[in-house]
Amino acid sequence: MINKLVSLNNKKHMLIGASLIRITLGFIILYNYIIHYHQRSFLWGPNGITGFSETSLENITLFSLYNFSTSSLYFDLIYHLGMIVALSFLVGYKGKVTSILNFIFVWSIMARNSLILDGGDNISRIILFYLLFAKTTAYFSVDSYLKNKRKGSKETTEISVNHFSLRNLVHNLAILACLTQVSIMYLSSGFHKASGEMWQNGTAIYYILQVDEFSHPFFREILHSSDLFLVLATLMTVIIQLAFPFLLFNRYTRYLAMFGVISMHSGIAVVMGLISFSFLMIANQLLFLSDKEYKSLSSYVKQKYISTSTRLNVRKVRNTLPVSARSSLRPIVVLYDGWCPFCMKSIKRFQRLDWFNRMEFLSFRDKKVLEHYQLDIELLEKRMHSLQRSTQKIEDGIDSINRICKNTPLLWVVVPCLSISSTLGVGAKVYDWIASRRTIFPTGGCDESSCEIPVKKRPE
Amino acid sequence: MNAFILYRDSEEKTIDFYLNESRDKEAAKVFMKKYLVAFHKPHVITVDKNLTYPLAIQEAEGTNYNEVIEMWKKVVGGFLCLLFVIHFSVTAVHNTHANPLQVKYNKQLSFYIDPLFTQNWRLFAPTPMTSNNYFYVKAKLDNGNESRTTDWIDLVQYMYEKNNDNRFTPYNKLIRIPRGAYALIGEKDETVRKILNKVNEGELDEEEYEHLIENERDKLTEEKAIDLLNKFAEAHLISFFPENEIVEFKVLLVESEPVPFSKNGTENFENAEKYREFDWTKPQGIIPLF
Repeated sequence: MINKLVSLNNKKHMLIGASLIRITLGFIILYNYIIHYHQRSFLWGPNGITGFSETSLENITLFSLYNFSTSSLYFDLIYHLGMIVALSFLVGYKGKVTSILNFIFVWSIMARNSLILDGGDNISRIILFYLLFAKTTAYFSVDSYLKNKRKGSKETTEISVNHFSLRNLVHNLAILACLTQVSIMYLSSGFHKASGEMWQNGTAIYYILQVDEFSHPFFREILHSSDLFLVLATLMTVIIQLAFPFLLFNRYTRYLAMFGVISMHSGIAVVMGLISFSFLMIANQLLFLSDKEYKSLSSYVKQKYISTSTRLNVRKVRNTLPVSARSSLRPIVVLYDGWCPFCMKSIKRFQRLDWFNRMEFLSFRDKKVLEHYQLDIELLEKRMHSLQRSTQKIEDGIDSINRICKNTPLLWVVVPCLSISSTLGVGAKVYDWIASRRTIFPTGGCDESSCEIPVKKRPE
Repeated sequence: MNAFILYRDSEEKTIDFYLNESRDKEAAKVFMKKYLVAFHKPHVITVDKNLTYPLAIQEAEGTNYNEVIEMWKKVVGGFLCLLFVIHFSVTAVHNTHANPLQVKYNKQLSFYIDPLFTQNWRLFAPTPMTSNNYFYVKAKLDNGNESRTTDWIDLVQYMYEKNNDNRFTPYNKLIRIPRGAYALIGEKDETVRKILNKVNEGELDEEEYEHLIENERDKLTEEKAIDLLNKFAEAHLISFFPENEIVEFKVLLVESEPVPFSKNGTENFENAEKYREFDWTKPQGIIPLF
């Protein structure tokens, strides 16, 4: 057990998540500085709402850089320095020093005026403290860019050493602290809600939406019209919050927990208008994916991007070609039986629905087609085939039908059904049953004396 | 089979020996390593004329030094892990719903948590806010020639409208100020509230919980809350009437109760309203809001 824990410490974990949360926190801190720029003196200044009076000076207990002088010039200096530090934090310049300075500046501004703070500010302040001990500039930062530049093209690989690394431990504990803190937050909030009468009877959201500060007339009207939604949303909020820490232990339930929390906060952002609160809460979720998960996500996105750009390029090239040549560059090729009236009728229907010209329908009875694609005629006679040009993937039978449907917006509704039937094997059987009973009339392929009619081969 | 033998200088008594196939550097290193730990390192080591021994001792010393560092690193690491567990145990207890443990150690918990880890995750719980607080201000103005008293001027509803039009404006946070300020009045920690109830019911000893009761502090908090409301109103008045001198002003709070769930959808439902008119006050020279 201990050995396993020690081996877990062989590397720094969640480096990408830590870098992403640095960027998002830096962004929202900078956003708050900028959006309140004209009200800065009123909100935090010496003559503002929490300004210094003789009595308040005595009562100051919290440290703040803004408390050292009552001069407006000094206030502006600290405010603008805070902005510069937040920007450096966002871009990841001089990671360690900047994160300490940024924490001090953020703490100072929050300590000056607590009236406009919310749970999002509270959690971000605590997380900023834990992140002082974590490496947050490993990715997407000026520091990492400069480091790579210094090393030139030399490839660096992380070598896992047998030595126990305190640096790794401090980083890993800091990240774990952030995760634990977020979990405690949801659990605590869930418990408090579960003990409230309005949350128990499912009316809390109905009442909250009546408060002008936390609603919008448009959404209030829509949501108030459905008792079912109001009660479900209230109960789901409690369940999502209470379940969050327990769902983290399994990879797939973790995705569910993250999805639940992100949906909840997106709802809060749109309906209740708590923008920075929701943004910060969703940003916290960035820490819940490992580097490995981020890397596979990134390669998936890259793959999608490449296939989309290939498709776009194909379209671009196609548009520059004469109309007759365009069809040959469509992403999907469907090889059907041109001697089967039923098939031709179906293909004509599919062609009509192919709004985006994604499919090219070719009869394999055309010898040129057969030569070009070099597929076994017997297999083609048995099942309709389709080919994806980008991946060269060939599908047949029910999968071909499914491929056509996937490329036909009007038929998207049947895709799940076809996919399931294909997985279960039922789809293929039904397809074969229909295909084997189709009538074939040879056309075009006959010469004057004879026609080649495919017949079912009997087992010898 | 060869043997390494370790003697003590004075008595020439055998302390330890080590049998090995060869008497080379590696074997010497293995034998000497345990006697070269920093705590009980020998002052002098006398060896026979085999030239590999000094090298072996040198290397064994280096290995031991690294091992000592490694050991200390593990001790510090273990301490950090322990600190982590303690920190989050305290944080977890601090965040639980009022319970006997929290009541008993309230002072110690707050001492540890505040201010660095101050946190409150009630977030609209257990009872969310349900009423609308509308604030108005009335002022006596003097423009040099004549003085007049204004009507009640709205301080928050215009902000709600602007916030509804666009969520990405300063109003998104500014609208919180008056309610936040007013909420300070009577704001008490949930645990403290429960203790006070028990003290009032005679179940707990008043003296024991004196530090939590402190009525004087409540009075100061109320004064602070009203002061904040007045400053909020004054910042508006200076923006609205920049040419006039504000002689004095007072704030009015209208608290509008919500429509009960059972009456949802009832047209022309009249919300119950409560009023609180604060005292006339003099301006303090606050910066204008706009």
